[in-house]
Amino acid sequence: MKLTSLIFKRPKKRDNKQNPSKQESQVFKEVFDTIDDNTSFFKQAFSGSDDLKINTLNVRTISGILVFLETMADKEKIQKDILKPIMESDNTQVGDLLKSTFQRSTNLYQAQQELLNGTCILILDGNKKYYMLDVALSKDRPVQEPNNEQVIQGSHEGFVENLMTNLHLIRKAIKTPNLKLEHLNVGDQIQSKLSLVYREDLANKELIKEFKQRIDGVSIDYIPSFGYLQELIEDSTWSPFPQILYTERVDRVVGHLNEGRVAVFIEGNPSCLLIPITFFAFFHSPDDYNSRWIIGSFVRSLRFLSIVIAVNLPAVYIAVIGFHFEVLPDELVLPVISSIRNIPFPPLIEALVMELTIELIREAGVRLPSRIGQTIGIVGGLVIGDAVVRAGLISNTMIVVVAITAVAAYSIPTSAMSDAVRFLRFILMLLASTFGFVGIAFGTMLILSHLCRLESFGTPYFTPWAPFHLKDLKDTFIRLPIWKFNTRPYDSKSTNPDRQSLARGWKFNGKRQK
Amino acid sequence: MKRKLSTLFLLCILLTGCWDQHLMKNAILVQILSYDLSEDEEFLLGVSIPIIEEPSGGPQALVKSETFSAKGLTPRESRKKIAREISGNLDTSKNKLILFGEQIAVNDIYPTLDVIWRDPRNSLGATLGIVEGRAVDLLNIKPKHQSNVSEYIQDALTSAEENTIIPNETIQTLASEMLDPGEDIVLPHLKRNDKNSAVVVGLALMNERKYAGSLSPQDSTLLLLMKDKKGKFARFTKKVNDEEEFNINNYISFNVQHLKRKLKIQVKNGLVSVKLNLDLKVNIEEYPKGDVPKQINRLNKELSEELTNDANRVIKTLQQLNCDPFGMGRRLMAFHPNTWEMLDKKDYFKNIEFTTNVKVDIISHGIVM
Amino acid sequence: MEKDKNKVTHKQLVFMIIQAQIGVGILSLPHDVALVAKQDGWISTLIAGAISQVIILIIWGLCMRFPSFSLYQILPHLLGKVIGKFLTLSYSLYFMVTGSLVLARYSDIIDKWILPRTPNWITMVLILITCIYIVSAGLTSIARFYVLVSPILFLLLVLISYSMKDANFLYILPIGSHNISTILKGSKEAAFSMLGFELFLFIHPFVQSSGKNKLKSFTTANIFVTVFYTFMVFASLVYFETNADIALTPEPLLYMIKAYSFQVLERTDLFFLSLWLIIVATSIANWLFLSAWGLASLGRKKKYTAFLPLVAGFNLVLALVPDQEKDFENFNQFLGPTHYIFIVIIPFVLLLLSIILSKKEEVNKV
Repeated sequence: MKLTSLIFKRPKKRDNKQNPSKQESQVFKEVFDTIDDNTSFFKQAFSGSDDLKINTLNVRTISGILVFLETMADKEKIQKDILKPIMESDNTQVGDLLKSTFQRSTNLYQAQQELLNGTCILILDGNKKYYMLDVALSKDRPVQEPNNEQVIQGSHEGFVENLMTNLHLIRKAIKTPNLKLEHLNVGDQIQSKLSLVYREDLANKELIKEFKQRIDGVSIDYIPSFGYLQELIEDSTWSPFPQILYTERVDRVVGHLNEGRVAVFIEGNPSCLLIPITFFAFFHSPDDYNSRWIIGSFVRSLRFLSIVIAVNLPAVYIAVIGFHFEVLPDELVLPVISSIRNIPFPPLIEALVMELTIELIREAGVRLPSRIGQTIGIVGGLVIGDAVVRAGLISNTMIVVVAITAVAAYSIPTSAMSDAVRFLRFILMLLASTFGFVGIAFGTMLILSHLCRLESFGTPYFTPWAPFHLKDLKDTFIRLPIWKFNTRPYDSKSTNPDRQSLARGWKFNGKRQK
Repeated sequence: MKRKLSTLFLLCILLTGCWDQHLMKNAILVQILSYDLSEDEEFLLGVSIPIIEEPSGGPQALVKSETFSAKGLTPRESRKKIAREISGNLDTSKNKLILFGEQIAVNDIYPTLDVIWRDPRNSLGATLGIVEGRAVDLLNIKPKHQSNVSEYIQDALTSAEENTIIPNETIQTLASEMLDPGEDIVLPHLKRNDKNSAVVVGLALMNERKYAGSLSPQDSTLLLLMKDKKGKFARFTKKVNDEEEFNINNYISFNVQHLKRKLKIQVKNGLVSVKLNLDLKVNIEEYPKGDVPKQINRLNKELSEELTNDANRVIKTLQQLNCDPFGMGRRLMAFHPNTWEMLDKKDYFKNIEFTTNVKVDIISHGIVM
Repeated sequence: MEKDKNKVTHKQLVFMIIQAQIGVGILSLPHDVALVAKQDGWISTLIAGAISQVIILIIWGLCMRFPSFSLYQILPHLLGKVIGKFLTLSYSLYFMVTGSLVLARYSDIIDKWILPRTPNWITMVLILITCIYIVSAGLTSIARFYVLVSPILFLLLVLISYSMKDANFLYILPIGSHNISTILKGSKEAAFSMLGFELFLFIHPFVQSSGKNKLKSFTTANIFVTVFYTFMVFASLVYFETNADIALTPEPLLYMIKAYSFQVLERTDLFFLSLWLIIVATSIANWLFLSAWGLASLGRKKKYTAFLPLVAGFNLVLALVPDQEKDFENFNQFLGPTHYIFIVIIPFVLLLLSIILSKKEEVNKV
């Protein structure tokens, strides 16, 4: 809570001394009278960059210049949309043509900005106005399923690097006039375009105000990717837990929008940020809703089991081996002892070596092409694992523990949360190797109390568990049938909590008539 | 800043060491403890520790066991001596059996147990037992089918438990009973027999903390039934006929399926009398003579009589040894506190008048008649 | 403290009070009570619950006259600045000393049961750091945490219930064999374990609900704690022989579950202790919070977090002093009367004063 208030307050102070470059861009500059002046203005503005093309245009009575960036504009479009119509039309029609297809403006600075977006600018001789047309070159990746968030069933659409395509995907999925888009710019020297998407009738207005306020307060030269933005606007950066959910799946964003949350897109990023979010949303997958609810619930509770295993298992193992082996039942004691008897290292070192090896294998494999990646996986997993046991450096049981932990950690559907979990277990391992179970108890307590104090844009991070909301448990650890979801979850602070009244109304039709 | 400081502090704590670490790989586990008094009145401690042999191809290691023993003035001293011999620290946290030789048991078993209650690491799940002769001799047997003595004896005890020869008790559950002036404990009675194996020979009866006498397996079963502590099976074999030539035909074996015990304690003029009724529903397991339904009434009657006699005999033995496994004193304390105040706390059990009645009811006889 | 941020609901209040009441005493309570009242200890516990309910009514009555003042604000308001400040300081010190005792007992049990060779100050520092972290987040987060860890109480209940399979119910008979005064003496022992509900005096202005609901939550918490304690005492009374055995075991509950083994784990007491640690941490956090808050309200500085390390340091030093059981007794004897003064007498006097002087908080004031 203290942290949030700090974040709120700081930007306010900074608002007063606005960055100079921001103000510069707002100055108005009129179109010059002569073509030469205009030409030199653009040349100067782009420092004579070689991709700035200024073609003179002399068709019949019309004379002027056509300015565009070769790297941003599509030459075919210029040919088709500008030159061809002008050539084919006769004198009288040119004026109409210009009026109907082109946008007009008088500010040269705006022209400069628009050129960067791939616009073609037409300045006519002796005219105080200029005309512009969007002929942006688009080299988009096709819409395809994101690699890191695959599902078995359901939509296979994913976002791409183009903002407009992404917004199109959202609009297409939510066909209601209530869906509102807001464009914001962020970045002092290089501006990135953000797009705020929410359902006007659902989203909490204070949340949106809060978000805009934070964006306003951000002062950074430029935002290269969503990771930057996330760290600039999240509540507490001193936390391993992600407080903003990013996803590349369309259906996921649509689901969250319909619960009253807000989605943020950044130009050039295929990820969408969702706020506010809770701890538990990171464990949900669209698959849960597309399979039978009993199976969905089972799979989901398995994931929560997996986080417990991933965080605690190595620590518990270390504590047992190093401190309290009396908790093992008799049948287990002797097999375990026979496996660890000749290991030269203390359990903590043993565990650290193996855990770090697994992390290394992952890190090595992740950036390699998939074929080499597989080789690394086999060499790392099988060869090292087997050899290290044969060499008597690491015990069999430790390999089993580490392997189970790794599998559990990677079964969490969101990579950010999986990273957090993998990081936390090292802390617990250290505590366990010093204090045994007592250390684990304190570590768990610290983690839980940390989760209790975290907030994501004013929403308690650990809700519906703390603060406790019994109703919202329906879609947290388990997934109840869809017709149980009559209210929207509390954590999104939606202005209209009612979602549906009788989802299976056909069942009650007979009764109603009576 | 504060955060950095506390992290630093935490690091300091973590790096200073692991005071309480005791690594599992260094531990020498004790599986059986045995206590004896040697001839020269010195204390004799025996321990059995598992020896793990490297797996020779199969995934599971073979576990054998070895026995060490040492004399000393106290159990701790003997333990120190043994520890020196095997160059390691004995760890009793996974101990499963505590055996007493007869010699030490007739004196007092409590002092040796004190350390087990006092040390938090010790296992309270261990079973107690009393061995005929020296307990340490039982640790030295070399059973053929099971290389680990501890497991072997444990298996023997488990099977005896299932057959209602000994009660299922651990040192923890015995503690209260041992300290209760109104109740006495009974312990498994073991013996090393000639063929180098261990046999459960019934129950050892304790008078307070001293070993007083023992019961045969069949009497033990009856006693446990009277205590309302039936295991999985409670089998008896009784002679019900005389006329058959081949002796085996004269006997019947049966298993108690259901047990109903009624215990009523009454006080009249300071005299305590107890009515103990057992209602057994039994299943005939072996009766070569056959045709049970025809003789069912006779069998019921004869078995009832016989078992009633046995029960009376068992109770008489108990009273002679002053061993009160029923907790009659506790019942007196609970229901007749005033009478209890007046009674002799030591010998009250001898003066209780018992009326015992066992009723046997055959309810099934297998899949033949 | 920002008022709009630090709100708790009346449901959270229930759990806060429960967590404040159930603390380090839970392990030794059956032993302490049984030493005095023998097999009637469970009656003593019930009576102690009833007594604390009476005190709760007094406290509630006082709080209702000042619906948006915590005790630290009521004191100067009713008694004037000088006496008020003095009493605030005494409360602060009282909470510090109580916290230290809890801390010392915690480290004593950890020392005896799990970590005999780890220096005591380290286990204390460990729990103090945890508590500071819990408390520093503000009332709302504290409340959330307390609610979150409350299911542990049910887990403890289940573990204890499991051990009842070896219970001998004859041990608690005959019921009521001891005279009233012995049973009441037992209640005195039990009442010390019930302490913690004075938290209400301080947090009631932050509870978003009507006065009636507050009392309801307050009473619910007390009833739960009484029943919980009574069950624990009852369970250990029927498990241990009440004259000799329970007198030999200072932590009967741990002993009860020590012997049980399940399919995959043995030595249940170690898990029990780990869970119990969390319960202790919440109660130490509680004393820490109240004490630091008291110090903060002495001066102009409104933030109590700055005082947390100070109070924790004081707790640590004071808790390191006793190192024998005799010291604990002395400590307890010193604290006995102070408990009465601070928990019963002062609130009662304040209530009387406010009625006599007919001083009440104006409702419109925020």
